[in-house]
Formats: sequence, C-alpha cells, structure tokens
Amino acid sequence: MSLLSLQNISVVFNNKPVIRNFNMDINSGDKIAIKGDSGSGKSTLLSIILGLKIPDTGQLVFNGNTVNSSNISDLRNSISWLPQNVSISVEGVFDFIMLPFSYKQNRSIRPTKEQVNVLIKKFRLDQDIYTRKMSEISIGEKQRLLMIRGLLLNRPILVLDEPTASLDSSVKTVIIDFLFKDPGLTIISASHDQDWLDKCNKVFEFNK
Amino acid sequence: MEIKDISWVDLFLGYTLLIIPLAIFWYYKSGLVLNTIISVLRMTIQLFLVGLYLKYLFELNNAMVNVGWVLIMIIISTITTIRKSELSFRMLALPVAIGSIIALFIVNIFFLAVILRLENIFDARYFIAITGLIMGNMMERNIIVLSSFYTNLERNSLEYNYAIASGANKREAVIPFMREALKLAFNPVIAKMTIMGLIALPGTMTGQILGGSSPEIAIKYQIVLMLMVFIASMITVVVTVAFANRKAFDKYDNIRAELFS
Repeated sequence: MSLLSLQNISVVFNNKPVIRNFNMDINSGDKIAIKGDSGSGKSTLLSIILGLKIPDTGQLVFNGNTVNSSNISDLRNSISWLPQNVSISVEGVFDFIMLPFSYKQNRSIRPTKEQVNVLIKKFRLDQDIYTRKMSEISIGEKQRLLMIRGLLLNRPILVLDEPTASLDSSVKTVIIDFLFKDPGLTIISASHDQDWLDKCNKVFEFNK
Repeated sequence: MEIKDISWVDLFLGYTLLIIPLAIFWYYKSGLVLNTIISVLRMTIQLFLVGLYLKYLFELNNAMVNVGWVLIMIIISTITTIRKSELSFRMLALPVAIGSIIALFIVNIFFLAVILRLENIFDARYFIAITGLIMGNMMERNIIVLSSFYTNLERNSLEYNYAIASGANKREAVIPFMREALKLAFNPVIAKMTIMGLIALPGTMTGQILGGSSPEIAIKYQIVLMLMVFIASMITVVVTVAFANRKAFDKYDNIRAELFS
C-alpha cells in the first residue's frame, strides 16, 4: 500500500486546466521531484499534497484512507512543508524557528536549544544568528532556517519548493547529502536543480 | 445655568467660514470642493432629522420604541460596516449584528444599570444617547478590524497556510493577522486616551459643559464613556470575528473566496 496516492487529480483555474488527470503513488522513503516551467502546476500539486488546496476532481489517499475534511489533519500532521520563501510575523531568528512549537499540536516536541544548535551548525549557519532579526538575514539563510524548522517538526514527509534555489554550491551539497541520507524520510519536491533531481528516485515533468 | 441658543442667522454665519477650506481645496485643484459641499449638506439634513426623531423619542420615552430604535441603529451599522469593509454581506451580516448586540448588551447594562443605577435603563435620554455614541465608535473599529484582518489573510495566505501546515489550528494560525488588525484599530484610541484633556477637550465633556454640567461631572462621564466605548469596541470586534470565522473558512480551514465578493 502506498503512503500517499494521488488519483485522477484535475485542477482548473480561470477555466483553463492546470493539472489534468494526474496520478502518482508515493511510497515511504521515496525521493520525488517534479520539474517543469513556471505556471505548469508544480506548486498547485504541492498545495494539493499538503491538503491546502482541494482538487476539482480526483482524490488523495493517505495511508489507505481517502483524505476529507474529517481526517485532513492526519495528512497535514505528517508533512513538513518548506516553502521557497514566506514572510512570518516574528522578529527574531530564534522565535522564527520556535514558532511552530508554540502550537498546541507541537508543544510536546519542542526542541532544546542544543538540538537547534546541531542543525544550525550542520547547515553552516553562524551560531550568532539567534541575535539577528529576520529582516537582517539573507534569502539563503532564511531558506536554511525554514529547513531547520521543518526538520525539527520530525515528520515523515518533507515537501519542498525549490529547496536549493538560494543556496551556494558548498552548502547545497551538505544539505542534499543530509536530507537524502535518511532512507525512511519521504521527500516530495518541486525543483529545477539537476544535482537535486539526480538524487531523486522518481522525477515527474510538468508541461504547460 | 441656561445654555445659550444659536439663532438660525448665527447658524448660517457658521457656514460662511467654510469659504476658507473650500478656497484652499479649489486652489490646489483637489477635487474635494463638491464632496465637501455635499458632505456638509448631508450632515445638516441628517442632524436635523436626528434632532426631530430624538425630540419625538424623548417625549414618547417608551422602552419598546427605544429598543426598536436601537435595533434599527444596529441594522444600519451592520450594513455600513460590511459595505465599508468591502466583504460579503451574506456571510458577515449575522456575525456583525451579533457582535454589536452582545457588546451593547454587556456595556449598556454595566453603564446604565450598574454605574449610573438608573431606575429605567431604557430612558431615552440615556439609552438612546449612550447607545448611539458607543455604536458609532464600535462601528469604526469593526470596519478597520474586519477589512484589515481578512484582506491581510487573503494577501498573505502563504503565511496562514504555512502555519496550518506547521501544525497550527485555525485559531492559532490567524493570531498574527488578528494582532495586526487590533493594533491598527485600537492604537489610535489608545493614543487618543493618552492625550485626552491635554491637547483636545473631548466631545462628550465639551457637550456636557456647554449643557450646563459642572466640569467635575463632565469629566466623570467622559472617563466612563471613553472606557465603555473602548470595551464595547473590543467586545464587538472579537465576537464579530469569532462568528465570522465560522463562515469565512471552509471545512478544510481555507479562506473562502466568496468572502471578498
């Protein structure tokens, strides 16, 4: 049985089909990439997988159950989403990392500062980054902080949107090695990066 | 002490000074000359009508009529709030009306029955006047909160979605948006309270002093009314948003596009 299955998914936007009868089976530990031009429906598909967008037709089956409003939290709580860029209404870097752990759902898994430090070091960020404001950090640093947040949630599926877009090559290699070394971690990504695509076991191409 | 009346001629004299702002608007080609004239005319007609029906209401002083009048005020305030917020009337009419009714019920009972200890809390002189004052202020705060809260939610849907995807429930995910909306709506009120009496003499107090009250009584009324307005505004926005959120989101906690239609 697949971990997650997309069955006959179609999405229409402004009377134009963005995704048409798309099918995909995702097994635990799969490393999946979706590539394609801007506007080809990659981000829409990720939104459907995240349970944030409801397709016009078709269904999502998670752990054998068709996803609906009563069980959508099971899907959402199994996925860490790492968007390419997002504005968050918090000032400090540490508050940014810890924000999800203020939610009732995640309070019991609040990480220690030492656990955060391990990832800060692993992702080649300065230890003094905590003293900085979110408005002062670069896009590449923010992307790594998003990954740290996502990984600290300790969920079995990672959904990433252009994860290496703002990373320099040395950091990129470290992060790719780190994410792909875990055989149990399921990765679903939208990416144009050939280094990233080479590491994935399934690559889907979307065309306009 | 008897209040000095303003004769019709003197009232007309008041209008003549309008030539100054109108000339300035005309000089700068602001396009506001006609708007100003229309607004002044509307204000004049509306206030005369208000004067007429208030005279009638005060003479009649019937609890049922007074409550009926307040209900009409709530309906007008609800329509105005939603129209100015540019949101769906169908989805927000009931939440806005409920928010107003609950806030007015709590604050009116508290002010008229507990603080003033009136024998008849539906006495038109107090019930209508106080409700009108509170409702006008409540409506202003409600318009700011509703339009800021939902517009930002739509504009920054990525932040909201990211919070939901990170484990937040709907109530937790909207907190940053509500925080900003509350700041936007209530910062001016807080600032107004901070400088009250120093830079500007508030309207209620000025009105009471002109009406013959002692400054001491006028100050006490002003303080309590300012507090009641602040409290009622807060209750109405929180209750309105709480009820509106039941309709504004679908069963997957996504904000409904119809809200903005």
